[in-house]
Amino acid sequence: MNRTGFLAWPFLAGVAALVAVPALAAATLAFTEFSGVQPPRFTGLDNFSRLVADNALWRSFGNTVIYIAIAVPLRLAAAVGAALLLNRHRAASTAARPLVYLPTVVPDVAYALLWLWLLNPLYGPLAAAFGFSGTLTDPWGARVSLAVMGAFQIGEAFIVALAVRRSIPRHVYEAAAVDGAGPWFTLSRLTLPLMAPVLALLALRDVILSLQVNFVPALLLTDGGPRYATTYVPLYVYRTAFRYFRLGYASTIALTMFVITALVVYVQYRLAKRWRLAA
Amino acid sequence: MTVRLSGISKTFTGHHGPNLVLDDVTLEVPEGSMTVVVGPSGSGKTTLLRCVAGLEHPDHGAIEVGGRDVTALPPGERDVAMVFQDYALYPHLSVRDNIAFGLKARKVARDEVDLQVRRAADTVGLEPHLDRLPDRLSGGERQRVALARALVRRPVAFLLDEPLSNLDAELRARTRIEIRSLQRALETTTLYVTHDQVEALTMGDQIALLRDGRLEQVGDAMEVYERPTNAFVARFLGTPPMNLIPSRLLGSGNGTLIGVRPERMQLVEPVDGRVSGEVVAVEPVGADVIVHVRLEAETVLVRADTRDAPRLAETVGVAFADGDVHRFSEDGSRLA
Amino acid sequence: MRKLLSVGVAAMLVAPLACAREAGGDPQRPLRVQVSGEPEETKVYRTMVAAFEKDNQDIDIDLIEVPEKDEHLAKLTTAFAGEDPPEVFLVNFREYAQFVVRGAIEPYEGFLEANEVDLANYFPQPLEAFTFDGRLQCMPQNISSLVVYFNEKLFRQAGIPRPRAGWTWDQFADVARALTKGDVDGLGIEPSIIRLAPFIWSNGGDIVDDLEAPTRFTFDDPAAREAIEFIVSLVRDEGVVPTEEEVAAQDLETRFVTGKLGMFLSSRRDTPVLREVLGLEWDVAPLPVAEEPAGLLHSDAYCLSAGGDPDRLDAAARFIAFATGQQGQTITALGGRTVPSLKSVARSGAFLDPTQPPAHPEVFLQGIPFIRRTPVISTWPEIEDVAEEILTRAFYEDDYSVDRAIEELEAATTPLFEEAAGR
Repeated sequence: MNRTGFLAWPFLAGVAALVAVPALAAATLAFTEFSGVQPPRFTGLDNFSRLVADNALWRSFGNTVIYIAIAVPLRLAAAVGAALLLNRHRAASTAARPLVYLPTVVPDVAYALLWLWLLNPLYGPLAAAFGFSGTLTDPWGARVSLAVMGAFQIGEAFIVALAVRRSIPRHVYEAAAVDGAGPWFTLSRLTLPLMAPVLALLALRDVILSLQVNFVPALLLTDGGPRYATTYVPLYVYRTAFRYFRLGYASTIALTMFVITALVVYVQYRLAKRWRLAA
Repeated sequence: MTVRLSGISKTFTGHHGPNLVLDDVTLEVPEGSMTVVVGPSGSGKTTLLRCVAGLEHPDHGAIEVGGRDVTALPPGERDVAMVFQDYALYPHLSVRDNIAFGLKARKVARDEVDLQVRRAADTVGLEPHLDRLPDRLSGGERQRVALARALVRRPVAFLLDEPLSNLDAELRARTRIEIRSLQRALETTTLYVTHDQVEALTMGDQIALLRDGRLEQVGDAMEVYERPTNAFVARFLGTPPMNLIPSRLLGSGNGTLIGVRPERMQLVEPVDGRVSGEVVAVEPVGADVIVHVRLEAETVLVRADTRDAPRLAETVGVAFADGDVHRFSEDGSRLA
Repeated sequence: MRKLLSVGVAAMLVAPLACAREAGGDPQRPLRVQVSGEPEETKVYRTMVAAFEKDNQDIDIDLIEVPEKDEHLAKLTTAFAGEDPPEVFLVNFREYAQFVVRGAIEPYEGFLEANEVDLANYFPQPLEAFTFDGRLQCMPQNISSLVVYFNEKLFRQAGIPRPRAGWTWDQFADVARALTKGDVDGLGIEPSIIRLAPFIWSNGGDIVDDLEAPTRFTFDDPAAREAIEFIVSLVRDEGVVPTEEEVAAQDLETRFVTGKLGMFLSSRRDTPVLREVLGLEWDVAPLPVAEEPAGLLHSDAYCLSAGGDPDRLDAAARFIAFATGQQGQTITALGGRTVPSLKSVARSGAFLDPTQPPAHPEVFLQGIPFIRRTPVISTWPEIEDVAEEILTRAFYEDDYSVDRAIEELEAATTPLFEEAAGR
């Protein structure tokens, strides 16, 4: 083991103790029936057959997919848009950049409560300004609202997009200008294609994030409603485990999600290699 | 289709306060010819070129391309093409698409684009590489792509920003000739910027010397070489540079500088009454040698035939004809 | 050497996890009592714990207050899973099934004699509720039914007299209609089983086929169906209940507090909150009656966690005896949150306090004899959640009929009843 490898041991030990060990424990619980109150009882693959037949779970998974379908493109567009807009070296742009990052560093709960007020059907500012109510009481309204909420927390993607944009040499843009390329042509034929590999990876990362990140908003704003429209898989797992005392089955779902997430991460890794962005 | 710059001035505000980069530059590039703007680094020559391209905006002055005042126009509407020092190729596009970029941006029809691209590639000899990506090309090939990209648009003027400085010596010499013959064949008005005075002398129909943002002299090779208007120009052109000897070392102490090119000096016997000094260095440069002769505090360079090379520490005399003398006042300006 | 060091670092980081188990057995640790409730509620528990510690210097109590019920349950679950639950926890009747059905509770019955607890002094209904397998499992602290909180000023302005015991459903609907004008709605009622049950029972119906071993809801029976239709019509046809948006914007309790709601159905637990509101004139009235009076059991009880050290269990039992005894119940009654389960306190000035609203606290006591309870099965919380979702649709969706609601309730909950029975 070389010298630098040694420095990673504390982190690896932490990961092992706080992530790997609980994950393994949860993985074994997936094959049991466990209420938390009594010791786990081995049930083999029963939980998995239950999973396949669980309509509520498939509905939750569908909700998660819908969330991803709305939120990921929104977030990516917002991050890229903000990065391109705020790329100049003007004072206004420099001041605006931390503002883009701000929603991301606001604690999850505070952010969710802020939106709870914003989206209040009768007394919130949006209702006062546009007169519409019923965003959180309507299934699609709630879904879109939660996705839009997530679209503001683009801090990390924004920074990556900005860095990628900056890495394109200025002379390339000047050559395009002399070549007579207008702003739209430059954007579509130069900027976006050059940013594309990283953006694709950002999108994948966002998909992985979106599999989990909507837990707090769903819990605090809609409690999974209305009509279960915003019951995403993480919320479903939480409820199954801690409200209905089915920790074994909840572990089964969690294990399945882990496998799916691992697959997506693997795809991302292979793509990164192909585009020569990873070792 | 001339390119005309009138009274161009530009100031950059930097860390140390305002910096006058171009000072009232007026220059005309005659139609179909190549003017080389040459000067030391920091002289403002690249800025001048970028002003013509439209990538910089002068604070004062006007730029005319092909009879049109383009000072207020964006780069894309000036009908000029630029070759950048680092080529600035579009890294994600093939050679073909790189060349085609400008045409596509102007919505030229597909067939026409294909035709023009092929022609341009042919002109610079890039036919076999059309589908390669820039990172798979050598430096020289990349430069040719940059050239092809410029000429495919048949612009009114070419702007070349030190195109040879990233090439190795051998390639440089070859490419110099290629660019020159290409320019002549196309008869496109060209503005060429370099810091290399050899390039300037060999390539330019007209040479403009720029120092600290100010044009020192404009003229053809012969003129600037044989009749430099000041000491800067005199020393900038020519390898090795012209000797500037304070007149007192040559007998007449009237505070002027006597300029004689090394190749116009001869080594002679150190007889009394003649200018003489000790040989402190002898540099072989192929068929000749450059002899460094110490005259009191000054060192004078003399180009001599190898066969006549003196030995170190030898005392030699230097002689020159009166007609080969350039006289400058102490501040560098030419005298009579 | 390097390998040794890395192994040492890893061991150091993992060791505390192993030690965590051991710590649970330390007999010198204070007794942990976990309760949940709003800060106004839980500060009463603090007073009670302090009083207990004063009288019992040898016992230290660590009171764990958890604001949200869901968190309270989650915390308990994880504590049990970690084999280190609090010695005492206060749990609501509707959630205690999880624990008792799985043997997580040490029956209090065994500690009655040692602590000189005479069950005859308590109301029988909560005791029965917390009796499982023939033994008293937990000691109930309170017993509340559903009552009608009403806004006295709105009643006065509409010229309506205060509701009297035995008032009919028609009168109830009339009052709600009369109160509904402008911004104000006449009635606030949630679309949940526990709000509908008293009406179903009052109409002579039942909510499940067998209280001890239920297999399905019995809403298709005419009496139950009629009760559900009555409530749904109040919401949908009469418009006396706030819309879904209005409730999402401001919940029912807040609407009542801000004078936008004439009547509001809830248990005793809203009393402390309402007492804090200045300028709100309110009182309570019994539920309207169809065929017979009926109420739904709301009760919280102190439970002992099973499997603890016997000495600590004894100490914990002493605490429970105090908390549910004369002194403890007086303190909690003064807080306003509870209707005491101990008869003597329920009839004392601590509960029947004339200086604080409601002016007619005896309404709570009058409802006790008619109180009925929901089944004690492990899947009850999920059944309640599923039912609430379906009832919400019945309340607020235009083309969602009561028939359809009853059908879907049957379809969605029967598997859950089965699952509970399989345990």
